[in-house]
Amino acid sequence: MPSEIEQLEKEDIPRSARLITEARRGRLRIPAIPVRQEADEAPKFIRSRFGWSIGEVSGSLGDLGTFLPHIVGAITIVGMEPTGILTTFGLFYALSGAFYGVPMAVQPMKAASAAVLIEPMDPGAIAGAGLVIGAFFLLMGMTGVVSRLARVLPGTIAAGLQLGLGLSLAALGVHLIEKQLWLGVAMAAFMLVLMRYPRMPVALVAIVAGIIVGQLLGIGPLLPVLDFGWHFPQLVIPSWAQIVHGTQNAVLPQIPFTLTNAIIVTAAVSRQLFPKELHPVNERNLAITTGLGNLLAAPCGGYLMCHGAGGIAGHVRFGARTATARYLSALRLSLSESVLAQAAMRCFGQFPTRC
Amino acid sequence: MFSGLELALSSKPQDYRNGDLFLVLLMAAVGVALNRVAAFAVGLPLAYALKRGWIRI
Repeated sequence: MPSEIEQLEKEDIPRSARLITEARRGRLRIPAIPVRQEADEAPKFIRSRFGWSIGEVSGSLGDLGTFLPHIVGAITIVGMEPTGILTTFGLFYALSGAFYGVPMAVQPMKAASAAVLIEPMDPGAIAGAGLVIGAFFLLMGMTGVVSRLARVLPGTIAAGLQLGLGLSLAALGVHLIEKQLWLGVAMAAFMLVLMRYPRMPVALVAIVAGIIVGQLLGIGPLLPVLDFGWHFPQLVIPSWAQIVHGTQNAVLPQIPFTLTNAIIVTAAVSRQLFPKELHPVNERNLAITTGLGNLLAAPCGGYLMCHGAGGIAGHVRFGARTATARYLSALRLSLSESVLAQAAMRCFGQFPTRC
Repeated sequence: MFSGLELALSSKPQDYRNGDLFLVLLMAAVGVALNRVAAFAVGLPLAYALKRGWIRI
């Protein structure tokens, strides 16, 4: 009869996981993730923060589909600096992986992203929105109000805001397609075909295809010269007017969305994905890390970031099981923004907007 | 365009009761026509009014 460990390993628990009763303090190089276990819960396993398999590499690319479209929009339409965005995303990836020990997703805030693209917003207003939303979720998490607020806010409010934003964003896309109708329709059809394959990173393929088509037909700007070197984010201090503008347009629609999708549902999905392992993913911690991440990223030119249920499901679906996938994502972004420097990141600007 | 459609699709609640669908569509209409603040300001009191039975759709 297989032992309990063998049984659990068959249920997709990493080989490095150990019974909680076997863990000894001080023997782990990386301290175990502190989580209080309820007395009536089944025995859980202390999981290692790091594991190595090809699935970690594949899983680290699992959320590119949700990451790239918003980032490309922020760089090409809003005019944000790629260095600030990618550095802060990379840091948030690494810190989330270190803290949670699972392939925790870090994504652009979608509702705020939609508002940022629809409304005329500048990098200062986005920094202002990041500071306000960061302070809000940090406060909500630290006081424990986040769980109560999630219960009080009706789901229909978030649904109504999402639907309105989604339709506005889709309409913006249609307007951009109008500028080069045949190319936009062709790219949309190409993406629809790619969507038949669930594991295909559709956005990534479409962006590369868009750049190639734009260059071949001469309708995109010239490719930049790559200059290698280290570049650091520039400080962005928003004015009071920019803070108000960012709060009105980006923060308000994002709060119910983050509360539901990025905090409550993410915590629930994490419990489903890692049911027998100890990890610190809960509503309160997710609110605190979202708040801290945005508060620190906003003045460094970072974009609005949160965790996401779809993202963590995507990482796990593509094979990630530990924080290694997050470090690989952080490394990829760090190499992109620092080693290849800003000129390389201007490649994002090569993507014709009507694609 | 696809991001917007995906965002709109994810707005579908698990089950609609009473005036939930009305409220979602009203908020979307206000959000598209005016802005998100107005949609929130309209939607929140209306959601509670529907929940408590003060309004019936």
